[in-house]
Amino acid sequence: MRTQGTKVRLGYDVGRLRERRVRGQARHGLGRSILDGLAGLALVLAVSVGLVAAQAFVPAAIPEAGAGGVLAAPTAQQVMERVQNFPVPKTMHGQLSMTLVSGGKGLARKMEIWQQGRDKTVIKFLEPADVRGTAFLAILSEGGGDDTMMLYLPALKAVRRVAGSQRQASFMGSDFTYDDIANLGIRVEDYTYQMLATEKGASGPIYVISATPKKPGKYTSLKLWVPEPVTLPSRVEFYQGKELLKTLSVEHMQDFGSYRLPTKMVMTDRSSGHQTIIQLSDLETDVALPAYTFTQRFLTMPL
Amino acid sequence: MIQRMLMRRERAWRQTAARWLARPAAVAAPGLWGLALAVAGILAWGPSPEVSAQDLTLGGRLQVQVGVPLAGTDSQLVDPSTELRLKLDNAKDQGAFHADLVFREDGAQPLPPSWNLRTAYGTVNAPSWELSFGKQVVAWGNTDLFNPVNVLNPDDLSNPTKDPADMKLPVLMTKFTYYPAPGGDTSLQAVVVPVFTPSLLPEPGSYWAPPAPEYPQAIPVQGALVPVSRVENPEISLPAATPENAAVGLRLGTTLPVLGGSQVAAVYYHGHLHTPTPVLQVEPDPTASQQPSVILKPALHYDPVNTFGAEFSTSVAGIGLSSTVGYSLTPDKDGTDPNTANPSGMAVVEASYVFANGLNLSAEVAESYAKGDRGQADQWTTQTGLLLMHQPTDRLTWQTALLYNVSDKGGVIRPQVQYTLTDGVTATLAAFAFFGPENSQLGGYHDKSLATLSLSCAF
Repeated sequence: MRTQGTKVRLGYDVGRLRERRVRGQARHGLGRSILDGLAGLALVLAVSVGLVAAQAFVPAAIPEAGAGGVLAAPTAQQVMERVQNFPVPKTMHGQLSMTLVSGGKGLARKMEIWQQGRDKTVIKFLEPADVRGTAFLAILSEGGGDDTMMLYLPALKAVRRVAGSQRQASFMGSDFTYDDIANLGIRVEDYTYQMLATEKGASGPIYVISATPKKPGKYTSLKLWVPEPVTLPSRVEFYQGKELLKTLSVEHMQDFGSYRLPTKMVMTDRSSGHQTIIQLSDLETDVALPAYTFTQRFLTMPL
Repeated sequence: MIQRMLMRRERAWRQTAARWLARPAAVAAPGLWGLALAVAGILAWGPSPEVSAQDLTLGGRLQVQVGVPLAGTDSQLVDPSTELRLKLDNAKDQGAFHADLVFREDGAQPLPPSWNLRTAYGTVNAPSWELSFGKQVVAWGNTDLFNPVNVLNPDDLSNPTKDPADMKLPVLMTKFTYYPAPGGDTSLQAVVVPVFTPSLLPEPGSYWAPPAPEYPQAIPVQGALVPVSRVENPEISLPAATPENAAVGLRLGTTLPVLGGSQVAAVYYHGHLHTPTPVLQVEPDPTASQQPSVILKPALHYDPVNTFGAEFSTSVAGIGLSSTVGYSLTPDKDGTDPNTANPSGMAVVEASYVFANGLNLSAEVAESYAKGDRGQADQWTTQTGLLLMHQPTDRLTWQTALLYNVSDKGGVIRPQVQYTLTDGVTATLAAFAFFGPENSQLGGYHDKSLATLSLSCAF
């Protein structure tokens, strides 16, 4: 079940998938929500981000007019809700490259990713060879309850649960945590927001927003830059107290049909200078996926 | 007395058994049938004209390792090995084929370099079921160090410094898994292992071989000591390859909505123990003309067993919790037959936590039970395992593992540093330091402590 050349292998309905195949042209999808945005986390995100996102060409909600016909500036909560409200592809499948850069030297990883809505993600490692087959599953529970994360270790033929504290660990040596990758922990309702400033951008204002998690976690606050028209944050800073831990920036976005998706994101560890560069390619959205895609069974299936 | 002596010398007996057992597993197993299986699999799943060449994936790993003794005055290199592993994967929409061909030259084993078709199996997928056939490993249980239900495959006990991923010996088996709800995690798995394969023990004369067995010079018979005239070669009795000796395993697993989602499973295994039960038979020496004497006939056999087990994993307050329990019933339920293994059980609890600085801590505690023979107390054993792991950079990983037997005070500590030179190329420096009383399970290896350096290249 993977994309190869011009062929999409998803277990069934291959012909249909071929038709839906998107190769650098329009049709995107990312987009998920704030989450994505936010947190960005995620490889999301990037993928996701992308993923989630949104129909880029659908203008974000227009701020209500205030007294005297003057548009009132949106609140931070409103901005983030607009980020979250972007339509999300029902499903997404693509290739992901992750480059770990330290001291000018890099380690490369190639992965394949599947997502369903904003709740389910599967990532399988293709390269390097010594981690090929390693697979990660994340399922967001409905209503913000307990989430599920599983890791398949092909050498041991074993699926292992990624427990609460382990979600804050580095994802395969990258600057992303498992939570980041899964886009978890970034639900809009999990944060309180404050508008810090409004900067002037090329296409309109850029909202600078502080997000404080309602429950304690690895980050005590996030700082987001959300440009108009609102799609998703273009930059996110992660703080622990007053210390800036990491910075996520969207380096490149691309229009795919009705979606506008980030195709390159960079996470930088501020203390070490280590960077993780994520690039998304061969993205296809709203593809038919087998019912067992987001299960332990699929994790163990060969690439 | 003889039985007690046998218990003390069980490990030594295994050395003798290894002479017979190691070769069939390491040399014969990768023979023609395996090759034929691989070829058949490749043909069955071979690329069709319309299939991209990327369906067929070739890869592998080359690894060299040397060891330096940490104890004694012997400063020569020990335990050198070279391993080339070639992997073939052929995946399609409704099926896949996988094979591992391994070339190994192991200085710790007095065996010639050999090629071994380690795994070769094919899988067919359907929305609600999956069928897999061939030489493979099926792992049960969710605790890593101690696991009483991971019994489908025999163990490779020939070298404790081996990669844990290679500790299970692939065997020919059929695995069928049924998924009542294709989008769910509930599954019912049935496994059939048609031919018994014993665990692989250290080859006599190898670095890890235990001391040679010491047999008594005389045996008490009716109050008098009767001299032993000779000790015959051990007789190894493997279960015959008949349908009634086929091993069968069943596993039912699902996720329960408790504690934020807990995974549970129940398992059952019917087969044979993979490690032998030693028996020492004493017979009069018919050739003795004047003074009576006896002949010792050691034998090793593999007892039938029925294992019942359960798995559980969840997380509480950020701590990952896993547990595996298993109880094995043998034909000697009451411990009345000294020549048959007694019932035994084990309960394991594992907890893992990742600190804010990325330090990963995992701890396991295992409590084992073995019914005593008639007139003897039951045996209870407590073992612990601890793993500390940290990855300060994307290239550097260090870990320290400790295995300690609380009951016999023996253990081993293994620090390890691994550095990624470039993509797929890693260098690993590790040490295995055994400690504890000489008669403890691990302390007996204290003179085997060593440091190893390995270089691995995956492609």
